[in-house]
Amino acid sequence: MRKSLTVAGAVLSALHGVAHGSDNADRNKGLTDLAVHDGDFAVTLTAPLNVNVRNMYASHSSHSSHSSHASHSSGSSGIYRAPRDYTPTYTPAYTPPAPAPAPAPAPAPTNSYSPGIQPLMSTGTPRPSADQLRLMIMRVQAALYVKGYDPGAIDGELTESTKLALRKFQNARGLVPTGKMTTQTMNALGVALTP
Amino acid sequence: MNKLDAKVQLDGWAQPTLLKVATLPEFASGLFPLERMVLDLRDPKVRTAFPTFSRLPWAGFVVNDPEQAPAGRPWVAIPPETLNAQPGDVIEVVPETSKAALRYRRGANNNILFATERCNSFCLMCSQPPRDIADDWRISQICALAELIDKNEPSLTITGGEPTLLGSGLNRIIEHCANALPHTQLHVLSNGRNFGGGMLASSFTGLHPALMWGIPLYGHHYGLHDYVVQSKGAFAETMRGLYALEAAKQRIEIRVVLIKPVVEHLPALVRFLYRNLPFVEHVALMGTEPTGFARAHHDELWIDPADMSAVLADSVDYLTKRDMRVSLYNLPLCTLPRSLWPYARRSISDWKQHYLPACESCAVRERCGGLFAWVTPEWTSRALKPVLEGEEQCASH
Repeated sequence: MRKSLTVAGAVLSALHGVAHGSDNADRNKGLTDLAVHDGDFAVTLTAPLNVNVRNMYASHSSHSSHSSHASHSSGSSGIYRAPRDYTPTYTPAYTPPAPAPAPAPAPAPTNSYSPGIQPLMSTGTPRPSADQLRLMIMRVQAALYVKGYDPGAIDGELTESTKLALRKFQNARGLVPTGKMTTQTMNALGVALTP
Repeated sequence: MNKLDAKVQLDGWAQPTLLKVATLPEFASGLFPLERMVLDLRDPKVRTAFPTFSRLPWAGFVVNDPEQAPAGRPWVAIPPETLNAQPGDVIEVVPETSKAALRYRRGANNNILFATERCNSFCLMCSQPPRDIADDWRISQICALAELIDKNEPSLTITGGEPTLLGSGLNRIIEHCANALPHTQLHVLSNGRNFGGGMLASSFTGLHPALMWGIPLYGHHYGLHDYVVQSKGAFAETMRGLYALEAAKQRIEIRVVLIKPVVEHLPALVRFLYRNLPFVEHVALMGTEPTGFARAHHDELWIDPADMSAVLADSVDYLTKRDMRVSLYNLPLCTLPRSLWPYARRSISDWKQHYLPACESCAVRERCGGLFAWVTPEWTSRALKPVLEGEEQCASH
């Protein structure tokens, strides 16, 4: 499997090279051969980043419109709260923008910050706390920025620019351009869903 | 050569702390807790574009200049001329001594986990002279360090001292590495003497998916080996240990340091290896690192690599013909016959790797491991000279 991935990658790069100038064909052929050879020795992660991990962020397509988040910003939007009072807490009152499809029955979210508080949802659908969600959006924005996409700012708000950047990235990777933080997208971005 | 620790300006740290240096990719990955990372404000992208970033619960900040640090937060100033700490690296800040040390370097060719300063041997050429001190605190420190190392790190070396002197602590470290870094090969350098008795060897069975033991053997005869390691009975203990490790299904590499008394009997040693330890995966024949005890024993130990050529060629040929893998470490290419170049590895850790001025014009400098940074004229081969363009083809090609 890892060998086939390496080879596939090499062939893709070779094609990419051809598109930029056919005089590199020989060199690309050589590189492909090398990659095939190296495949036997390659050290690669054999599994994607997020496997069998519940993605409680995938359904979020908007963020800034939720009033429940207002209390978490320090006045001006886009400013993360000062470190002294960084006290992530679970926010049971959080309401999603639309009824989220329950992916699979899952245990109640284990929140390391306030283990005693249970979510109000009667189903097993996990919800991220406002701070968890904001942090995850910041991670996604940072990953997009590192990969050359413009998420607007790294502020934890799922803004139009961030969603546009997500869709552009998904398009470029052959993923469905949903503008959402699906597990596949997170794998492609290199963002782990687990804390 | 790069320094691995330095005096620095710092503030806000209560105790020695291991920290992952983070820029945007380390933050994005989410693989490391913010509370154990220092945000690298020396990075222009981090610094200018995203002031909101600095308000996350980072353990602290790396800055070029103390004035860059956000007020009231821990910081350490590491301008480029002090220490080469890069994103992804793990540093330790030590407030009592105002020092910062590099404990893991992303992309380095040989990251080590230093297990203990204690040892039960006192080898003539030891590069890390042992100290009999209580340093079991290193067990938890190594475990904490492993949690901050990149998950795609290809390999790590556990060394010392003698790591088995940590007792079950070594098992804890290896098990912890298996959990935190399941894709990282682990190489443990041990003299193997403690595996001889009891159940120690079997306690490592199945503990880690990619574990290899590097065990030195310096002679085919107990007299020679015990002399080199300055410990009576060591040869017998190591031999029993090697068989115990093999019985426990452990992977083994034999490491031979090429000091004069060893080279004089090398043909006998490789024949001994083939006859008695044919199950070892790899034999490393290694040039001496001229530091520690080795410096004090120059006259007993030094043999010019140029004078080893015939013996090395015979030994490599003997092992290779019998399907035993062999490599040459720490020997510059110009000191080796061309036929041995394919066996030479760039084995010297990059931070202590050094080239001489003469190496500038060498055609094979990029393939050569170079020399140890602490090499002195008396430890330098007379055969050292640049290989010229056109001379660089191996004899076998």
